[in-house]
Amino acid sequence: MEQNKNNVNSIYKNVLRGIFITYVFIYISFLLLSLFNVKLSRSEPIYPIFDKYGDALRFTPISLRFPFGTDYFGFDLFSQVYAGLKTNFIFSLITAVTFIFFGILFGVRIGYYYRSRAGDFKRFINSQNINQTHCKQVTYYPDIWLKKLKVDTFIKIVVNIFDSFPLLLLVLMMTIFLDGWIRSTNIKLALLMGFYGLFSAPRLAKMIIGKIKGLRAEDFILSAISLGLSNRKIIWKHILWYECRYLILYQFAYMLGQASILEVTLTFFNFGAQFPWISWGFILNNVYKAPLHFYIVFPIFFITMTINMYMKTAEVLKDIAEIRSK
Amino acid sequence: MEQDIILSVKNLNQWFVTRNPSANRNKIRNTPINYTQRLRDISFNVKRGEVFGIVGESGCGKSTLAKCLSNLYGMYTGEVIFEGKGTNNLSGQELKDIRKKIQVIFQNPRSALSSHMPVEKLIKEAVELVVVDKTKVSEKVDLILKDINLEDERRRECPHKLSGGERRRAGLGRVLAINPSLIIADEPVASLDVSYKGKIIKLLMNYKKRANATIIFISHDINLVNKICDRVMVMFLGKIVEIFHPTHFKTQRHHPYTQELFYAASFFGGENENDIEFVPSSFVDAESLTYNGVGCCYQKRCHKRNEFDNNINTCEKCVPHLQKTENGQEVACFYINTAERTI
Amino acid sequence: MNKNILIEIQNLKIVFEIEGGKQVCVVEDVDLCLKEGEILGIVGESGSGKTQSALAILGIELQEPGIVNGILKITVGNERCEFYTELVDKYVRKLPNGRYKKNNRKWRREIKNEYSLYKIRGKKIFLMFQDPRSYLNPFWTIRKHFECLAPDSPLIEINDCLLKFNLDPSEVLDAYPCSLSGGQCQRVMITLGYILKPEVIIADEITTGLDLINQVAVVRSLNELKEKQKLSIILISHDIGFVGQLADKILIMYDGQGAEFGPAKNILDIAYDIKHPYTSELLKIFKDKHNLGYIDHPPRKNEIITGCRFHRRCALRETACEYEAPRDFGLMINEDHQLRCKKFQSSKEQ
Repeated sequence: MEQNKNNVNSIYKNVLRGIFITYVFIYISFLLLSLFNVKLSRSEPIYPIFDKYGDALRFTPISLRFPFGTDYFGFDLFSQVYAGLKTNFIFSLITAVTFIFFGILFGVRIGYYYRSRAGDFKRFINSQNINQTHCKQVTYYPDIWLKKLKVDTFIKIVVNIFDSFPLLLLVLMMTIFLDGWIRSTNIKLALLMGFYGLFSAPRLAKMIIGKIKGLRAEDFILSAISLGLSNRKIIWKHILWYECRYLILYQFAYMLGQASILEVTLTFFNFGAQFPWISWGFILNNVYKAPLHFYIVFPIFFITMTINMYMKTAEVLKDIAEIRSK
Repeated sequence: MEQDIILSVKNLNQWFVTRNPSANRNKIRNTPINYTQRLRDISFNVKRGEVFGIVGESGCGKSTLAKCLSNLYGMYTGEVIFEGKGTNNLSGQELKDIRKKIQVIFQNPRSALSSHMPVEKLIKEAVELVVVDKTKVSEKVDLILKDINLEDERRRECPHKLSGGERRRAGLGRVLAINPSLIIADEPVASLDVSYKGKIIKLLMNYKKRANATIIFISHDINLVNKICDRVMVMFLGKIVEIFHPTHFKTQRHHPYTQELFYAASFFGGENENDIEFVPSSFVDAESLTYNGVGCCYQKRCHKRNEFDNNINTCEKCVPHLQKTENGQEVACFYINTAERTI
Repeated sequence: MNKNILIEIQNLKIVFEIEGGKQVCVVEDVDLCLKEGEILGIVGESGSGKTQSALAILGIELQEPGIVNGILKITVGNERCEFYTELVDKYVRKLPNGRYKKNNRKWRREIKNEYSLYKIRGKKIFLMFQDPRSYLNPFWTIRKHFECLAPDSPLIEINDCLLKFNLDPSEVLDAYPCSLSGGQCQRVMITLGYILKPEVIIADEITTGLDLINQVAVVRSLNELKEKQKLSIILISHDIGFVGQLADKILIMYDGQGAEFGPAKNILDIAYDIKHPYTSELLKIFKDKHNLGYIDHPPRKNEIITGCRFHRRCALRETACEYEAPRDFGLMINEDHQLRCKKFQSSKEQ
C-alpha cells in the first residue's frame, strides 16, 4: 500500500512537472517570435472580422484560421493573446529590472558602506587626559567615510520611507497624478511600472543587508580586506555572485509575476496600455462587457499559466538558494 | 640598531563603542555612546627576522591588537610605525602597498574563507594580486599547493569539506602567496590535533627562513610559545605585563600572572615539571574581568598582593609601569624583587 | 568489585554514504564499557570517529544516510534499552541535486524500545559539546535556562552550585550567553549537569579552544562533580593530558578503530611495556620538550587499506603488517586491558 501511494504521488508530481516544462518551452518560443514581430495568423488582433453579409463573426468555433475562436465583437483571440505577450513581458521586465537595480544599490550601499556614527571621538579623547606628546596623529574613522555618511543616512531614510508605502494606493495615486502631466499613456504605464519596482526595492535591499550582516559577524569581510582585495571585487564576486545570486534570481522571477498581474489589471480598468499596443486586459474587458462564452477558457488558461510559471520558478530557485546556503 | 626594528608601537590605546539603547529611547539621533577601553598604553618593538610571541587569556585584547596593527580598526590613538613610516591616515594607494606587506592569519578559518570557492581559486585570487605576469599564475599556484601538501584531489574541494588542519593550511597558503614581510598569526594552532600543529608551525618557520620575514605569534598556550619564539610578551586585560626571553626563563623572576600561566600549563602533566614556584589556591577566576585603569590590572587575583600588600594598598592606587631588569626582561610589578615565602 | 555496567557497546560499525554512491566506513569494530562511578576517556585524532561512536549511544541521527550496526545496551535509571539498527536503503531517496533525503519517521520505527530512549535522553544522560553558546538559547538569560530546565530546584541551591564552580551568581544569572566567556559558559553547563542529577555525562571536546586557565577550572569542577555525586562521565578529546587528569579508563581510537582500551594507570605509564605503538608515540610527544608534535601520514578515509591501518607510521612494523590485519579488538591481556596489535598477539600465543 505504501509503495502504491508513493507511486501515485510521484506520477502526479511528474505529470505536473511535465506540463510545467512544456509550457515553459512554448512560452519562450512564442515570446521570442512576438518580440521580433513575426506574424503568426492571418487576422489582426483588434480588427473585427465580417462575413459576406456584413455581420461580425461572433463565437466562431476553433479552426485553423482561428485557433482559439473569436470574441463577441469578432476579434480573433489567438492573435490577441500572441500580441499581448509582448506588452506583458516588456512592462513586467521594466519593473523587475528597476526592482533589482535599486534593490542591489540600496542594499550594498547600506550594508557594506554604512558605518554608524562613532560619536565625536576627538572630543572624547580631549576630555581624557591622555599624554599626547608621543602621538603624532590621532586616528578615527577616516574623513572620507564621514563625508559620505550624510549620503548613506539619506539613502537609509529614503529606503525606510519607500518601505512603508502602501503599493496599491501608490498605483492609484500615480494614475491620477500622471493623467494631467503626460498624454501618451504607454509612457504613463511604463513610469508607473518603474515606480512600482522602485517602491518595492527595499524588500530586496533588506535581504541583502541581512546577508551582509551575517557575513560581517564572521571574519569573512575582514579577511578579504586584509588580503588587499578591492571593495568592488569583494562586493561583486564574493557577496553578490556567490552568496546572493539565487536570492536575486528568485526575487526577479517573483517580481515578474507580480508585475504581469498588475499590468493585466490596469489595462482591464482602462488605465494601462492603449491602442496600438495590445494587452490581455482587453480580452477580459471585452468579456466583461459582453455575454460569457466558452472560448474565453483558452486565453485565461494561458494567462494563468504564465503567472504560475513565474511563481513556480521563483519557488524552485528559493529552494535551491536554501540548499546552497551554508 | 634602528634599522633592525620593523615595527614599533607607541602608546596604543584602543576603544570600542557600546551603545545603551535602553536609555533614552525617545532620542533617535543621540543615543548615548559609551566608550570602553580595550587596550591601554601598549608599546613594544619588533625586530626584523624575529619570532615574537604574544600570550594571554581570552578577552585580553590580543585579536584587537592584531587588527590594529594591520590597519583594520580605525579607533585608536597612538603610533604604529612600520618600516619607518606611520600607518595612520593613509591614502588608498598607500594602504594597498602596506596590505601586501603586513598580513593577518585569522583565528577561525571556517568563517574567514569563502565556502563556495575551492582551494585552487582561493589561492589564485591571492596570487593575481601580486604577480604581474598573467601567464605565470598557474605555476605559482602549483608551487604554493606543493608547499601546503594539498596538491591532489583536495585542491578542488571547498573548505568546509576539508578537515580542520587542511583548512588552516589553505588559509596559510593564501597569506603566503602574497609574500608579506610581517605575518601576524592569530591563534593558528588553537584547537588542532597533535598531527597538524607541528606541520603548520613548520610551514611558518620555513617561510620565515626563505623570505626573512618576521612573525608575530599570538596564542594562549605558553609552552608552545616558549618553544618557538625569540621573545615573549604577556598581556592581561589590555595591558602588557611582562616581556622576556625564553632562553633565560628559568633564571629569572616572573610576574605572578606568568607564574599562573605556567602552573596551568603544567597542570596537565608532561613538560615543565617542578620548575614553577609555588602558586597557592587563591587561583580562581570568579571575578569579573573589568578594569578601570585604577591600580594594577592583576590586583584581584594576585597572590603577591595578598601576601605583601594588605595594609599598604599600592596595588590598588598606583599603576605599575614596565621596568627593565636583566637579560632584556621587562616586568610591571611592584613586588617583583621581594622573595616569596616557601612552604 | 562488581560494579554495574551502565553502557556497553559491542562491535560498533558506522558507514556513511557520500554523494556519488561511495561508502565510507567511519567507525569499525569498537567496544566500549562504562561502569558506574567511572570516568572513561576517548582519545583520538580528529576524524577517528570518537564523536560518532559516543553519539550512537543515544540513537542520535546521522547527518547523512548510513548504517549503525552493533549491539548497544544501556541500563540507566530504571530503563533497560537494547537496540540494533540497520541500513535504511528503502527510507532514503535521491533528490535531483544528487543529495540524499531520509524519511525519518520510518527509520525510527526500526529501533526497539524507543520510548525508553526518550526518557533517558537529557534527563539521565547529559550531553555537552564543544561550543556551549551554540546550544544555550541566545535569547534567554541564564536564570531562565535554570527555570525552564530545572523548575523544581530553589534559587538558593542554584546560587550554591554556581559558587562551587567558581561563578559569581550576581554576574552570571542575569547575563546572556553571548556576554559570557567560553570558560564561563562551559561551567554553566556543568552546573546544569549537577542540578539535573543525571547518571551519565557525555562531554564531547569541551576544552578545545579554551585557554589553559579555563581548562584547569573546568577540570577542577569536573573533579568536584565526581566526588559529590556518583557520576559516570565519558570524556572525548584529542588532548591526552586533559583526559589523563580525570579518567579511570581510556579508549584510544585510530582511524575509526579502537586501538587500545584499558586502565589509565597502565596506559599513561611510560614504563609499562605492553602498549599499542600509537599510544607510545602520543606519550612521547606529550612528554618530550623538544618535539613539536609532528606526525607524518595522517589517515585518509577513501583509501582502501589491507592490513593494519597504522602500519605506515608504526615504529614496530614488520612486513606482515601490511597484508594481514590484526585480529579483533578482543585480545585480552588482563581482564580490563585490550589491544589491537599483531606483535602482542603472537607473543601472547606463544
